[in-house]
Amino acid sequence: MSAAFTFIHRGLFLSLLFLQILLAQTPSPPVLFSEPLSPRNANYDIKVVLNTDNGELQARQILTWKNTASISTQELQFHLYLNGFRNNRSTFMQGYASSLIDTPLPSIKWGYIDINRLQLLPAPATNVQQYYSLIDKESSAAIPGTDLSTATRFIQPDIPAHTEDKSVISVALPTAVAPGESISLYLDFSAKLPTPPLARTGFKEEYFLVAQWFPKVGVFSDEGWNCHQFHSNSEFFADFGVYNVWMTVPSENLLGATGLIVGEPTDNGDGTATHFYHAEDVHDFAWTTSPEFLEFKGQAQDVEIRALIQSDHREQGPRHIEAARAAVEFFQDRYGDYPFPNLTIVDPRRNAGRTGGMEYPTFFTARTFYGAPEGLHRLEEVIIHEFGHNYFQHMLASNEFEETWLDEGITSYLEMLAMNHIYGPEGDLIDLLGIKVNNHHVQRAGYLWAPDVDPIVRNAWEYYSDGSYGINSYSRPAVMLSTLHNYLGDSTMQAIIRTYVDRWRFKHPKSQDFINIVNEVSGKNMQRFFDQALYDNAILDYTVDRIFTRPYQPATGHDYTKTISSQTFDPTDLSATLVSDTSDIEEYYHSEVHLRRLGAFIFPVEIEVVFEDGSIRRETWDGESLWHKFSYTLPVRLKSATVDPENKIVLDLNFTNNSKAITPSSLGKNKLSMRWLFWMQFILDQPEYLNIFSIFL
Amino acid sequence: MVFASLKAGLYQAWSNKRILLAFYFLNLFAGLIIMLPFRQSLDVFMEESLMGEKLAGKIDLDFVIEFMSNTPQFLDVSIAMLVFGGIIYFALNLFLSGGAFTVFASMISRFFQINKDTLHALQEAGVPEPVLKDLMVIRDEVFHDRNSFQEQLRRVLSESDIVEWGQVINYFATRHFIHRYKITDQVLDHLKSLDAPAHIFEYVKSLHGEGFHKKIRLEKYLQDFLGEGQEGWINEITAKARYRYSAETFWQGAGKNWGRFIRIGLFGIAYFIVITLSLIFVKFMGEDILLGENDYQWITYWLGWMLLFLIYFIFLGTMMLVDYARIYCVINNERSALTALRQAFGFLRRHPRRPLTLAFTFSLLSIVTLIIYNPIADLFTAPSAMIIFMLFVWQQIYIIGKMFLRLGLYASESYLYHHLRIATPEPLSPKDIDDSSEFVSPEPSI
Repeated sequence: MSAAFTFIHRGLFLSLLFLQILLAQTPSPPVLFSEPLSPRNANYDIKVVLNTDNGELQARQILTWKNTASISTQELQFHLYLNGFRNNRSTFMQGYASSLIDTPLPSIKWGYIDINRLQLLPAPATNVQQYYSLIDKESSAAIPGTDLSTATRFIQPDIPAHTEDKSVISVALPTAVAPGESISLYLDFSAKLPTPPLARTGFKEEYFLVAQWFPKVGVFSDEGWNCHQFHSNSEFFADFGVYNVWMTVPSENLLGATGLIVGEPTDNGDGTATHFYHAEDVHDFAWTTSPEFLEFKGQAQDVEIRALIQSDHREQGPRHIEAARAAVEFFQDRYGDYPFPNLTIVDPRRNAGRTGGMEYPTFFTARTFYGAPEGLHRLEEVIIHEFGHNYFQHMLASNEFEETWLDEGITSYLEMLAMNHIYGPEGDLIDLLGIKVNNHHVQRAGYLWAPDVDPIVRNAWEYYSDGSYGINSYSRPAVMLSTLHNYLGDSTMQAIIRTYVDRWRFKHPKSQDFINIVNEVSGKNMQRFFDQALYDNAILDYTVDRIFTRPYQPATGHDYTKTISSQTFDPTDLSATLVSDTSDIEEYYHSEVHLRRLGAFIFPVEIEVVFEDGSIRRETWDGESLWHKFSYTLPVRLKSATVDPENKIVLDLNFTNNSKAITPSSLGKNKLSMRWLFWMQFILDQPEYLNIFSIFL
Repeated sequence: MVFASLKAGLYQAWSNKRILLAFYFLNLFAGLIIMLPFRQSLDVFMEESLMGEKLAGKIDLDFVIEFMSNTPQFLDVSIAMLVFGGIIYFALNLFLSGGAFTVFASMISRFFQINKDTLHALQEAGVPEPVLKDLMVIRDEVFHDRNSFQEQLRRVLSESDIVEWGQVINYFATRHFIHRYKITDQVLDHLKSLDAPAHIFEYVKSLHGEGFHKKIRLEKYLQDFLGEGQEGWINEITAKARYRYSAETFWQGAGKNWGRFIRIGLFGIAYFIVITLSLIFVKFMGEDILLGENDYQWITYWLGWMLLFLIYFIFLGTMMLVDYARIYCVINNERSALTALRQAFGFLRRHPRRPLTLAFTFSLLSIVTLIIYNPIADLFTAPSAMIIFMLFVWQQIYIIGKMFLRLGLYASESYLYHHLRIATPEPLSPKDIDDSSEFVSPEPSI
């Protein structure tokens, strides 16, 4: 990013902010981007009052929606995510309960959202001032336009059997909205947040994480409405827009939200204050508030970082800032500009862990615990991961309901690279008491746990289990992309991701769009790789099944009369079969390497064949057949053979069976056995011995 | 006293290296048995893979992950082996410890001395000044046998003083030490085989059972009686009297005490579990009642550490209880585990400071050994057979070091027990002495 651009960027923003202060009484938000970065077809102006005693929200909202498809629609579909917590018959809670298996549901104070009034306004809003009075005034009795309150019905597009699920509402419009046409709706809604928080939303005592809290319009395309029910294993999908949100909370509270604060909070004189936040080209808006937050600030390149930290974790405030700084620099340097001027990190309150590790545009939650040692980089990992989502979900707004890997998988892969870059090649995740664990080890361990239960691409609610959802959304795609990384090379892979970001930022990419970019940038057709990796549960496991070497047996018998010496012997010369035995030829050895493909996943592999004189032959096998044999007749014995000698194919389930030696070494086994023996001796001696503290060393 | 016990204990452990070997080989054998499934799983999983060579260097986490996911049965088998192996190991350890405690107890000898501490203790116990003055005549003289000490007392004290204070004086004048020389049957047999003059033989016979801390003391003792020109006999006697490990004593002690030690061990485990679980229950209940579910993480964090430390001290206390109960069994030939535990509990209640300091010292020593072990072990990473062998040797040296410390602890505890039991510097009333008289060997008192 150029310094000039940064200067203009920041200068423009500060000028607009100054203008806003001058016009404090008029709700004129600043303009962050003079040219919209996104289609901005779902714009929200919301005024909400939070009752911190019971977690209730009272809000008025104006949605200005534009039909960006090439077909008309006479219907709108909204997500009412908070209704996922309405009762135990919601799709969310049914999924959540089944994931708990035999454990009863924890004690929950239910959350919900009710639309009290829904009105189609006479004309679409062109600026926030146009309908500001509607959401600003105390009573909304005189709302102009058509009342649509009775034109609504709950629908269950994913699981029709869940008839009591109220997480999606359909609104019938009096007239169709033509392509390119905009409408504005007025909504008055009441909501209640669950406690303790569930699925990233809710409150615990004084701490509030208000997410997925307002009626949010689905995504309309030429394929119709895409507005899925709220499932326990799914995240979100939405269109971009501009958000102006006024949040009223107790005066003593600190508040953080998506976007930028406009002006100072307004003291309402009744113990509450109203905070006005403005965000552009985002597809979601979340916020948090608590009187116990401690504020930490930092700067990373052109991004201002703010961390709202629980008092329990005050010592870790700088760690949050530092990790975010490293993440911003890593992503901006490699994958393009993060266009927003700021970033807010939220540290969830104790006993509200379910709000941790969640991403929203320019705003995300981390997760840590008191006493977290420096060598344990779990906090940093979460921060890097969640910041990565500002690219893969918030700028490249893929459909998390249908193709989770596009955000979670790609982010997990980049998180691995970032961790390795920032915290070094050894122990980038854990570097504690001599124990060094890398992020990629953990990702691969997750993948190996259940590599073939589901394909990667599948509707989020249709995976076999929560575990399968997790593996196929995070670790398996990360391992898959690492394999691709090793196959295509570091610079090609970086160019792929960069191109993908450049081309699809502020759009809705799909898996095929990513594949097309891989093919285009790499110049290779990787379609088959992705077909197997994404849409199949094929496992990848190549092995050296057998190797042997033995003295060459010259042809003997009735037909062999010709005499040759070792100097003239050529094993490829068919005529040489007509030879008689000579002692010279016994110096040659016939060696074979038998390879097998144990899984259905076909991928070209390299083979390294080593001979006793130290010579190495590199072979390749396309992996198409179930097995392949290489044979050699050479004046040297075979020593060993290895498939994928550099372990580039991380998707391979078993690196250990990738090689075989004619005379295998027992050194490794002996060393491991010895270590195991030592630990057994050590553990056995513990109960009688008084060095229990030694376990901490 | 703690340092003296530590020194004496380590000396005893060093003097009985065969016991150390018995403990070490048991540990090695048990470790090998438990290691077998791991080795078997490695052989099956790795086959002829080049991984066999690669793993000779640094540990490969990818391999560990693959191994764990491909051989899930290995962990089950290993845990089962560890549990069952651990139980058997525990029992066999108790068996060996019976021998060890017996040998260590047999190395502790007694002498009598009126010294500064004795006089102070006697004064505290109410012995009148004139009696203390009379005792000053034999101040700092060492008496290896009770009879000569009592003779001296009769010489310096009146009959009435002896009747009134004799037992108390006897109690506070008793000292213990680790003998390096002792007049045993072997010494007498040796003299017999050499046709030693009758007066020498009879004199040495009169010293039967007496121990001497240093060679020079025994030599002086013999010289005082035999006079000049008897160096030859003195050398013969001292050479034969030098302490030697007795396998018979060890195995007899091991067999004799095994049953009672197992009962003590089981009581100890039950005690530890009950106390620990109660503590955990109290901690969580207390947290729940006082703080609800909303306590700050720093509270739960530090309470967790506190709990861990408390459990450590309970563990330490339990081990001390079990150890001193075993010592009691050995010294008093006590069959009842409950009686031994009760006596050990009483002992620790009366003398909490020094046994705890001793145990904690050994605990620290063990941590020090680990701190020394770890960085050196980390140096042995090169993938060569020699380096791997050196690592093995270093590991076993560490294990032997641990065993040595354990035996040192047993011996130190035995020594401390003898010392505190008899020559406690704390003021005691005659009543206390009576209470603990059951610990005293049943010799007739004055």
